[in-house]
Amino acid sequence: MSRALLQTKIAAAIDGDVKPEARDALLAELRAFQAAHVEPYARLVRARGEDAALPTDVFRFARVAAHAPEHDVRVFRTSGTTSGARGQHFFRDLSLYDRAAKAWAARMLFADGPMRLVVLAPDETDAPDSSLSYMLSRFATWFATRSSVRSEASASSSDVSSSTVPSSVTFCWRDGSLDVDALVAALSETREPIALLGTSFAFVFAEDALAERSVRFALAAGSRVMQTGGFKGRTREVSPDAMLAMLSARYGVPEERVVAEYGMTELSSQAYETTLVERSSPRRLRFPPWVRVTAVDPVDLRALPIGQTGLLRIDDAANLDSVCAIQTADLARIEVDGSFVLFGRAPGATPRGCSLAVEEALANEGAS
Amino acid sequence: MSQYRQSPADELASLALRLRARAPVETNEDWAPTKLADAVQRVACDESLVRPLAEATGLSAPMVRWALRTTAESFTPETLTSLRVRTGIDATDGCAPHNRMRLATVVLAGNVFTACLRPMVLALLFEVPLLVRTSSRESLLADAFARALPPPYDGACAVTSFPKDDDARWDAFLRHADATHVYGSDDTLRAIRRRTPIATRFVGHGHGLGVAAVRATSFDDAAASALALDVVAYDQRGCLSPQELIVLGSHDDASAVVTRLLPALEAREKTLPRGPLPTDVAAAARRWRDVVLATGELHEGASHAVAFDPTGMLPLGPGHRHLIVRALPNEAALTQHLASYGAHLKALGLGAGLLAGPAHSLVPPGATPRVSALGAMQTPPMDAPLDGFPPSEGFVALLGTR
Repeated sequence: MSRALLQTKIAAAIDGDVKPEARDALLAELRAFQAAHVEPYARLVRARGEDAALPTDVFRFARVAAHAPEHDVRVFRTSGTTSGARGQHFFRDLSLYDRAAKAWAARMLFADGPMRLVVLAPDETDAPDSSLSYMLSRFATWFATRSSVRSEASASSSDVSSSTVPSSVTFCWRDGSLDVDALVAALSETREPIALLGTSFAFVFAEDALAERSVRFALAAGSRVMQTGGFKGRTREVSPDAMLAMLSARYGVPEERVVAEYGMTELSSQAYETTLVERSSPRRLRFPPWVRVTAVDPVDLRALPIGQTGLLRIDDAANLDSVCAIQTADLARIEVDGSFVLFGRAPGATPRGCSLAVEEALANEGAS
Repeated sequence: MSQYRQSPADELASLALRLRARAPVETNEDWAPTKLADAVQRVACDESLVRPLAEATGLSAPMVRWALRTTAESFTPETLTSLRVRTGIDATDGCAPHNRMRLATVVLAGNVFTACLRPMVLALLFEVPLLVRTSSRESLLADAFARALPPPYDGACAVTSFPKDDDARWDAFLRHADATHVYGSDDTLRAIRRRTPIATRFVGHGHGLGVAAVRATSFDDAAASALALDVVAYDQRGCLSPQELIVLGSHDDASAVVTRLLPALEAREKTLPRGPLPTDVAAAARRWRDVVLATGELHEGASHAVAFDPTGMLPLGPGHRHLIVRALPNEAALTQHLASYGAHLKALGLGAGLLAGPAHSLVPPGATPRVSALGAMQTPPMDAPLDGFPPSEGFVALLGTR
């Protein structure tokens, strides 16, 4: 099947409410296309079979792309690893990424329409290789209200907001770190509902700064907080439960309006916690219908029955020009309705032993 | 005075003081080396230990027997006598160049079960009572050796274990020692060093790895067999285990070396089978193998895998008989590559073509690996330096002025 036809099919799957059977058929066609055009995946498929999933680590060591480098329009890079190599995701075009990100965020995060956005992360011009910054910048275009008067806060924060995003967006980032003054100003000046979006570590950084200033907020009804990302390489970690309580208390937002996003540089689609749209359901993550999630046995990578905990495999149909079948090192349990619960990194991701302890030590020495 | 499992802190402190009162352990040059060597041989030949050790360590029974035999081989009366002589411990002219330590504590790691014998024997050889904390994973051999000690050593050696986060027992364990020897990860070393009194000599043996290097032109079947032994020994879990093979030559040369190595590994697996993989290691192994399949060349055997890394970037394997092979053009590139491991480089095994030259010239500044021939990487003589420390380090305090 040609790339153009696949692209059309994927777009239709994103725009329509694709059913699991149709999605799985599309994923099979996509894997066949990628096995023919993406060299690392072709090698893995030859050895492990057509249903193989590519470990995320491969994005650190090889070009995972169906197209030549001269056709790259964007490269997203991971934030780094213990070995120092950064994973890279090469995009030939971003139309499917945009379509997927917009469709699912509109449903899971902005179902009640546009609103004022306050972002605790750099804008895409400050972090051009960050998929998160790219996505948040698109959110500014798609989901920010356009009627608000531009504030002093936004004017004093990241200058990238001045020309490319609506005035109701504040990127609280300056000179490579969180701009706490801009955050305080942006949250203080309005009684409109706000979507406060940022990385987990930025929220922890903000928490420390705001606690020092004894500043708490009571955001307007309808506000929500979205936090994403872990604490890799950071000196302070906060458990998910503590993060939830912290964000709810600091920003005066009910816990059910605090949602986590789960995304990866290696993917084109994102998962969100369901509490904003399924308020009576347990807090779980959910990918869009064009993504299949499977818990697999950590040793033989065979699919586990629903309800069993295993390594999370993600088949993302929006990954057209790389590889759709991605094997993560995250532990998860899949529920009957397709949502899932994450349990962090698998113990096997960092097995005991001299060699890996040495790699870890060397990475730490390099980082210090 | 052998086993003090889970003794409370106050008992542990009392034990340390009782041991300290035994110093110096009264021995003499005529029988001390023989008694200690005999004790080592007794435990090494004790077939009743093999199955429990295999179960506790996860190694196969043949691997346990091989490890016991090869470790014990270097604990001879002659070697121990020579060590005492070299240290001057038997000097009778009043000019002994050392101060006697009165208590040494030893903290053992769990990855190589025979590693307990060297510090235990050295302490007693130098007449220093010792208190040993074993790993929670395995304490059988340290216990067995302590039980095998004849008088007067039996009253000068005690083995204990306690949880790693038990502050009170760490304090009791460390407080009365003149020297503390610690084997483990760098994190473990840092944590214990913080607990160690400032006047106590701290001898740390952190995590590390081994690297083997060969010239493709001199890598014959004998070299392949020798390297295969280095890889399979202790299921590649020790800090002296080669995790990486550097082939000086082209990529084609490296491929040829891999081709020659594979049957040698298969042969070693028959005589020294690998133990079962823990689930976390099996998962990491599968992930590592799939990464290699996608980016390099992977050769999978029944219980081993050899990866050829054309990128020069792939990570080391998870141990347990996973070897990565890379090609480098020359000795200078090898030294530069080894420098990236810094002080973590603990063993350097060299093929014939490289061993013939001045081996030290390949070792980068700051590293103190044990340099050996292939096939001997994991069987260091007990009287060889370890991590750059001489055997007497932390057991005998040399006098600065005389």
